Amino acid sequence: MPSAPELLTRTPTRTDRVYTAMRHAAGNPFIRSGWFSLVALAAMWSALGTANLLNIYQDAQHFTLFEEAARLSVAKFHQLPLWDPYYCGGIAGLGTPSARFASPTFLITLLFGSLRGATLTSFVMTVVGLEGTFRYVRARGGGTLPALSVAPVFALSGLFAHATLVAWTNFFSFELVPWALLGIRLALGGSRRGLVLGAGSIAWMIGFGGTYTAPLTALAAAFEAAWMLGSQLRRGKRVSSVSRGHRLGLAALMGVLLVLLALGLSMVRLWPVAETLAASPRLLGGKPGTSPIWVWRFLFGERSNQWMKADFLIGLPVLPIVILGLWRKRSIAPAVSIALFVWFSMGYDVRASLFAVLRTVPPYTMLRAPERFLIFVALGAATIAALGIRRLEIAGRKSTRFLVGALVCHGLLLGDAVVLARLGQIKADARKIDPTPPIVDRDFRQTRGNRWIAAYYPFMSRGTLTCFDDYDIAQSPQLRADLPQEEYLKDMEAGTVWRSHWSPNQLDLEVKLTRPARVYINQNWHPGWRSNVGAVVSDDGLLAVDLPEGTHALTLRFWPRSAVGGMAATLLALVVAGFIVWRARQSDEITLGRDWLVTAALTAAPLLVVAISFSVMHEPTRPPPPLLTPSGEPMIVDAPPEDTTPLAARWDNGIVLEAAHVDLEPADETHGPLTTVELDWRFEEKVPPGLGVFIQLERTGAHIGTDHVLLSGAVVPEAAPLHVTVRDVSAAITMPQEKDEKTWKVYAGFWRARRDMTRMKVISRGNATVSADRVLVGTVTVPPQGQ
Amino acid sequence: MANLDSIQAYAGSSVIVAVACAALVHSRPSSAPGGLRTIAGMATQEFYVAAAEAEVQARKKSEGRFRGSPWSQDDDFHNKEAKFIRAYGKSHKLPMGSLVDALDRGTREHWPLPAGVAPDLKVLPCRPRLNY
Repeated sequence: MPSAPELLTRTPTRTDRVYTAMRHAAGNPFIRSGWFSLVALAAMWSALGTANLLNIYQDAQHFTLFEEAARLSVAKFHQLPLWDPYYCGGIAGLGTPSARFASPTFLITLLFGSLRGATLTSFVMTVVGLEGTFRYVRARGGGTLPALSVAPVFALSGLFAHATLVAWTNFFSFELVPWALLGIRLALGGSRRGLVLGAGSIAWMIGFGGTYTAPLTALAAAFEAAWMLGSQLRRGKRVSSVSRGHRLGLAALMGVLLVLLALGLSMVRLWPVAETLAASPRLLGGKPGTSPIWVWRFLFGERSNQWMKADFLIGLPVLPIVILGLWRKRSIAPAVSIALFVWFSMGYDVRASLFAVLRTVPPYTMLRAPERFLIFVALGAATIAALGIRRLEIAGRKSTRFLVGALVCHGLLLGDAVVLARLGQIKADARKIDPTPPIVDRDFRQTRGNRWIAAYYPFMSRGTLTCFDDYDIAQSPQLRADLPQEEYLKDMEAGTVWRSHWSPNQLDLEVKLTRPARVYINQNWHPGWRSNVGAVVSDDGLLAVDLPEGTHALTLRFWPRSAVGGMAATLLALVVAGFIVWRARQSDEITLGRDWLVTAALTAAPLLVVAISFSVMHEPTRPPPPLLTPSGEPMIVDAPPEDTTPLAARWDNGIVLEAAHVDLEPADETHGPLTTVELDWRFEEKVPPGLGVFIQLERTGAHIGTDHVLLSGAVVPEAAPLHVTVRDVSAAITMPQEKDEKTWKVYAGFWRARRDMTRMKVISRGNATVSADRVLVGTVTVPPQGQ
Repeated sequence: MANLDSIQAYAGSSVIVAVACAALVHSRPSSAPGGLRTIAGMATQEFYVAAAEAEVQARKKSEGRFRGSPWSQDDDFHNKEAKFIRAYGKSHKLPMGSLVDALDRGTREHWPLPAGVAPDLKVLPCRPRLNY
């Protein structure tokens, strides 16, 4: 690129020389990386000072546990982190959506431990994000020095400070967004390097626990691609050497390659996570939204150490520069993206909700918190600001005044970086922290545990059975917290079981049996468990092995098809990516025809590995939850039980409440009076997805509300069988006990629990009393206290 | 220009190395991670009894907070339990790790408890609420 003085239409001044020197320095990768390292260090300084301590925030507990469990598998047991026995009685490590260890940054954890490693990872990712923003903005025409100045607007924005406060280290995967978008831009233009960059960034996000990052970035990528295709169409009218159809075709076909390569590279996580979520999808309700005033506060509000304050801060100093940049034609795309993502971020707070539409499309059905779309506003704002300064730079060729204006903008952005770095320190200082958990190296045991302090357990060779994640975890109700040994026989007289070796992925047991028996392991069953002898079975979700009489050296190994096949696919995809980069040294541009076909075959090869793994490795399918009521009775019957009251109330979509029954279990020493509500539904047609059942108990001056999406805790309404009676028995509802006897009316109805939360309309009341689209299903009389 | 580039490369590299060193030094632990601090058996047993007694009341409060969701009741109790452990450790100057360990050992080794006081060891499978 020619230096500024060569383009000047006037005599160079001292300002020109200073500016040229600054721009030259910004273009030097060493100087730039040094600067970005300093900026990241400033933002992360407070967090680094307490890196070895444990953030007590609840999410920090399980995120730390996931990473520590993976570290222990590799560093202590010299195994791949396939099975995490430390949480919930055992879960698939690679199938845990928000675990972040399938990422290059896991090396940092291995080197420095899970606690210190988390903060160092955040620091490294910040540097990565700064450089990515620089490159993306420059690729959009933002110029070298402006791109350098605006990089902190995105990479230090409030989301990352907030992620430090609440220990969402996996949210630093958003630092990869500009890399992914840059890769997509280059790839659609036919670049091999762009192909690997785009696909690699997306795969990294997925491996880093980017449960929000990846699907949100997919939308941004779709926008970027659509805009680029539109640009190709417009350019086609002006450029005659290459036909418009050719360029459009190349862009579309490159998009296919990018998707194929991204799938292959991320298969090690995609397949196991898909398996987890297919078994128990995340069921989310609510109508989250962000009002315009909150959008403003998130982006430009005052710095604060509190939750919901400046959570997406980009800083006020950047605003005038963004306004300046809006006057450029090149700003149309980022401006439209800002408008689009603000619209998304407003969720249900806007009448025509784009987010509501998105929530009907898998996997977006599993996302909440629409305000997280604001991170893309930060990137759009950074881009427009750079374009604004670039405009001043160009105008500065004619007059120094514009160059001075550009310098003022750089000064404002430097001030903005200080504001953002300070926010990082403020949020880090606000964390409540515990000392480093003690390390206790001893035999592994399950304990009742506590998810609010879950991080302690893997350090202490214990697994916490009580746990939390955003979805229904496949967890056996038979798990025990007080066993003398973790592997046992229920039939004690059948023989003995002795543990000879324990590791997360492999258990070696000495079993002596005088008759055939079942060996129980105090961990969850998963289809990936295999044994060298006997048959692995799920006993109410508990891992167990049926063995014949005799002495057995039983080895149980966790070797799931999804993880093994996924790893093989990802390894092959890495080789393919390496080959593509090597080819790029000769020619970066992929041409249509044989070149594209060869590359397509290569990028599709990892998917072939998936298909082969699927056919070669056999494992049982996870059985669906049994269609039983909580008390173990059949859920699907021909007619309602005899003790129910016929109602025959009817809703839209062929939903009929045939009968209902309300039961009361008296209080005892451990609990208060418990009400159970049985609703006997019949579905005459397939109901729309997203429905739930609400139950309301009312008496004068008091109200108890509860709701559920899974009928009898087992099946969603849209999957319930048609034309039969479906017994939907609620969980026990604890009733308040007062001085006097109280009678409560019990109402029930259907609502769009995972959509707009409105009630389904009752179209025929049958024998029931109906009010406000809910049916009176019975009453319950609670005795006074002491009875 | 080539000379300037090499100077800039040298300067930039030096900054990167210096920053990396600063990050590593600043994040280093003040002391090596230790094992469980030995505390008197009586102190841990007293804690175990106090925690078990607190559990009864805490569970009743949690029942009232989430009347229709047994898992949420259990989860709310565990939140209270975590706060209790932290507060107990602070007031008795006992480390968290030792108290977490005491709860496990007390349960496994059946440490004595007052009549009518018994921790609920039943573990409910994770069933998060629709909205939280």
